Amino acid sequence: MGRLVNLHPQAEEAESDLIEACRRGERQALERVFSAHAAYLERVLRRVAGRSLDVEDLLQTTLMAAIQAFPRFRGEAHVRTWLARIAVHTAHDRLRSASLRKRADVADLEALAVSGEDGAPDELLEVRRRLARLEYHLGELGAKKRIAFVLHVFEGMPLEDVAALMGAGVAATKSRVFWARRELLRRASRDPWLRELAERSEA
Amino acid sequence: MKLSCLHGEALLSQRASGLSRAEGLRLEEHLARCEDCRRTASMLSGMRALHQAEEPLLSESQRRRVIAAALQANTGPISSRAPRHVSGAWVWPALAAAAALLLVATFTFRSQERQSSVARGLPAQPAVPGDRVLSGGVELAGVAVAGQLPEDAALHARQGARLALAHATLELRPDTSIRWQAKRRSVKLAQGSVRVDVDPAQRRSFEVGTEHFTVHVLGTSFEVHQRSVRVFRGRVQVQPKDGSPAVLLEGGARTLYELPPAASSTPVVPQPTAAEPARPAGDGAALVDLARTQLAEQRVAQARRTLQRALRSLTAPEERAEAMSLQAECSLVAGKYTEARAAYLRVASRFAQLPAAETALFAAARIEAEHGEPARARELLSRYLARYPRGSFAREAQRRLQGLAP
Repeated sequence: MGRLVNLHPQAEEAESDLIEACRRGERQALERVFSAHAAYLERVLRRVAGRSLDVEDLLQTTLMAAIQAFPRFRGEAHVRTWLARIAVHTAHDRLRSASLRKRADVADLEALAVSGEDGAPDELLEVRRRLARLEYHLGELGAKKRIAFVLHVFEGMPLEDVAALMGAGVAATKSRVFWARRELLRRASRDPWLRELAERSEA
Repeated sequence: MKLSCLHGEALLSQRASGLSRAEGLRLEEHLARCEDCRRTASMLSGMRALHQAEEPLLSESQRRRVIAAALQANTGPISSRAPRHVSGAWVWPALAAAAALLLVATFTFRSQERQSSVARGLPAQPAVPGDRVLSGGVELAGVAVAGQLPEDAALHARQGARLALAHATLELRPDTSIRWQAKRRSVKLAQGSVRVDVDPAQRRSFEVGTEHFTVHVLGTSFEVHQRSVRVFRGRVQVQPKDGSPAVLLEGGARTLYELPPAASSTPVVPQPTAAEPARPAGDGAALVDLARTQLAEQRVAQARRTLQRALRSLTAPEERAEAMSLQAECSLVAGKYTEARAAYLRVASRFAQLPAAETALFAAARIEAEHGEPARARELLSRYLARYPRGSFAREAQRRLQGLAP
């Protein structure tokens, strides 16, 4: 009978020591773990929360929540997945906040899209404007539907992983993706900027 | 079996995460005969491409700052009431986390505010919501301030600090003094240097002044020293106070205010003779800041020595890349172009994964274009464009390359 051989036992041991130190709240260990995963968390936050939220602020909130939650981290998931889950929760909270609803004003988003870089070519401005419209429509979906949809359809994450990240069942996640897709497609088909996406590729 | 539109739509959603070969074939077959689903597919893939459009990521140093701020905000013992993010439930852990954080933040802020206001007996100026200390420590009239800041405040950061002022975030370097006037959205830099990120979405003015000039800005990211400005993103207008013409700076540009000949002999900025020995020898980041100031004041030899000292203690690649880029800049300011080009190329090859490499490679190409051989400049510009086709200087590189065409 064969057996699984750990090719890097020292590394694994070192990582478990590191996590144990994080549970004790040791600053150096936390810093090492965060440094290793900050770029990944930033990407998750950007994708899930959109471009109009302050990703720096979201990342800081995520890390602060992780520091508080580390003593309860049981190591059932990889630390990266666990941190991503906290990031998704953080984004979810922020997306639900009243201030964000106020933010989801398409005129503001478009202004942001167009004012970013003077002298940008028309094509780039057009892309930004479309992106602003897409952000607006995504913002109009419920936070959970939006997150499930973005992670599964745009980011290509399997439903099971999305469900695990959101702490929900697969069936519920599937349903969220379904309704989000329905609503987004309905909205996009009425939006002249996004409708063009379908017309363009047909042409 | 024929596929329904409903099932087809579901498969379209799943496309990004991977379909089995059979599912893929059935979907293609369905798309070939269903115009509605073809439109849906086009729209979804168009939206997906839009959503994945490249966005500027935080730099390594920004990430480090965020990590340091998070750690600093949690320096106390970890609360036993810490929220559980691992459990399966969705809403309650998140709410508990938010509530616990809010409690900790409120308690910390209130207790610090109470202590400091009782201790210092400062005039009760109305605080402006949002003007606050994000991390690090600042002093107001010699007393440490935490949390919200008054409308009109002269602040000093000994070890550096991060502040939210109006719609801008300021990073005060160690030993920096500023005066903040909320009504004018104006920062006066009295000493040291500051990095400023202004939110472009607000479309409101913000200004940073030094003894020599005022930087007017709408939405951008830049760094101000007593006599120099460096722009990372967007545009700023630098208006000298002596009435000389204003300069418009764009991302990647840097300007230095040259003192008139009569004033040159009298240093405007306090010479760091007293401050320098007080700095800990191992504080590499602070030494890099000092070197930057020295370089801005054209004290090239001093800047070189400071950078050599800094490099002895710096270990983080980002910081080493920054210090080595400054060394290259020293050579550039001294007019040693070959040396500067070689130094930039070293940064570009040693730190290829860092943003500093992009700037360094372009800087080397520009030096070659302006002071070297056209053939070599073409080669470096082509190398830059091949490595960073959508880089910050791609447009300028293309323009220069066209200008250098044989």
